[in-house]
Amino acid sequence: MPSAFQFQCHLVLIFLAASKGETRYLEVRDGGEDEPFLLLSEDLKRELSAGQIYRRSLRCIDMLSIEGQFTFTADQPQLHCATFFIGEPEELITVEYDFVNIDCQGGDFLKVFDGWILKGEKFPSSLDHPLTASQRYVDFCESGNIQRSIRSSQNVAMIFFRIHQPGNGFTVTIKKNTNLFPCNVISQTPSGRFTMVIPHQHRNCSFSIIYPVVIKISDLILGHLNGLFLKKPSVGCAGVGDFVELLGGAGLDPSKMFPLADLCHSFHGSAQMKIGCDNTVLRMVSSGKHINRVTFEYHQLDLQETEMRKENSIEEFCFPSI
Amino acid sequence: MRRALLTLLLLLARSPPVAALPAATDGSVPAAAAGIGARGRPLWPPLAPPAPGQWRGRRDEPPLSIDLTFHLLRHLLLLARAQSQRARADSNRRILDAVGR
Repeated sequence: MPSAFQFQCHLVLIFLAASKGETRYLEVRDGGEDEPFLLLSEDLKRELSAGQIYRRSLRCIDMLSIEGQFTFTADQPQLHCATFFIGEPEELITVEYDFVNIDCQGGDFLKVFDGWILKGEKFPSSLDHPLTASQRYVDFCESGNIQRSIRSSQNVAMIFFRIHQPGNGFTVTIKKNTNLFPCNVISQTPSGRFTMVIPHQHRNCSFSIIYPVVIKISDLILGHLNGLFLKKPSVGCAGVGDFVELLGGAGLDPSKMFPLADLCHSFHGSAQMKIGCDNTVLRMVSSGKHINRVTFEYHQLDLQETEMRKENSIEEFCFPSI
Repeated sequence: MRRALLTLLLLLARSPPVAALPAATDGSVPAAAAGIGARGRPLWPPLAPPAPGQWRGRRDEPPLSIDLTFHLLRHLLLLARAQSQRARADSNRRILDAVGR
């Protein structure tokens, strides 16, 4: 049989199979493996969706890492309250006001902050955040009627509130959205593994671990331009060009932490560092000319290690060692 | 002649004492004490009254913050993670119960 005629017959057969809907059957099967809800009846789906929204009341000082609806009701005047929100590194936080009953004229307030701020120190630092310090606060009393949904720029956010009158309060819904290229991250856990990619963006990104850790960098690519390796490594460091720096300190703001090491050249392998500080930050500085990537893992420093090292450590630098 | 010149110089060097002026409630300086010259033009322009509510500008106030130690922050993280795991376990249980019907 001539090959051209064979080809035409195959095309006709494929057309007939597609018109019978057999390809649609295959798609449904593939979908069912990934999404268990597709196996359920519509009634069950409705029942489960209704019960899926997590709800609880908030305390004056609280932390949430889950989506849901949260209510605070003051049983007495509460003047200094805050709720921290944290997601996975690749998530963004959205805060939606569902119901707010506060007396703005009477001195109450409800403000969302884009990031975390602790003892006046912000994460991300002002140097690494797209908004100004004042823009990072969204005050319900000023813009609540206009802006009822606020999305964070990274995986952390928080709200501050003050309520004088018992019985007053608010309800917010917390949702999470995907962030394809996480930049500024606070780790929820003292151990983990992460790859930070900055693709042709002129920005600086920090990964913060608020524990003493051993951090191991296994892969660093700097100056990788569109699949071609540059003959010369990126110019750096000394604050010039693209580089990665390790910072340690006792506060939240990376711009106020001590530089412990910086990496200026690409490498494959393992570079390990023990950092006994309360906060460890891996920060990548990117000019935007290249695609930069760093892969690292970390785990909490053993308590015995921290106690042993104190005798020979330089306390203000949290005893770094390679 | 010299004495006359010296006397004239001394008289010119001695400036009249500046009296303490009571500030007006709106911050303005009374025109009579503003150093109005002989031709009616003020030597120092009067202070412009500030717009209402701008006396304590936002840049003067420290950023709204909370004082928590890292120890307490880690404790809150631990509680949040445990709560998240319980909620996920509960959700999985309900899904499995629904599938099993």
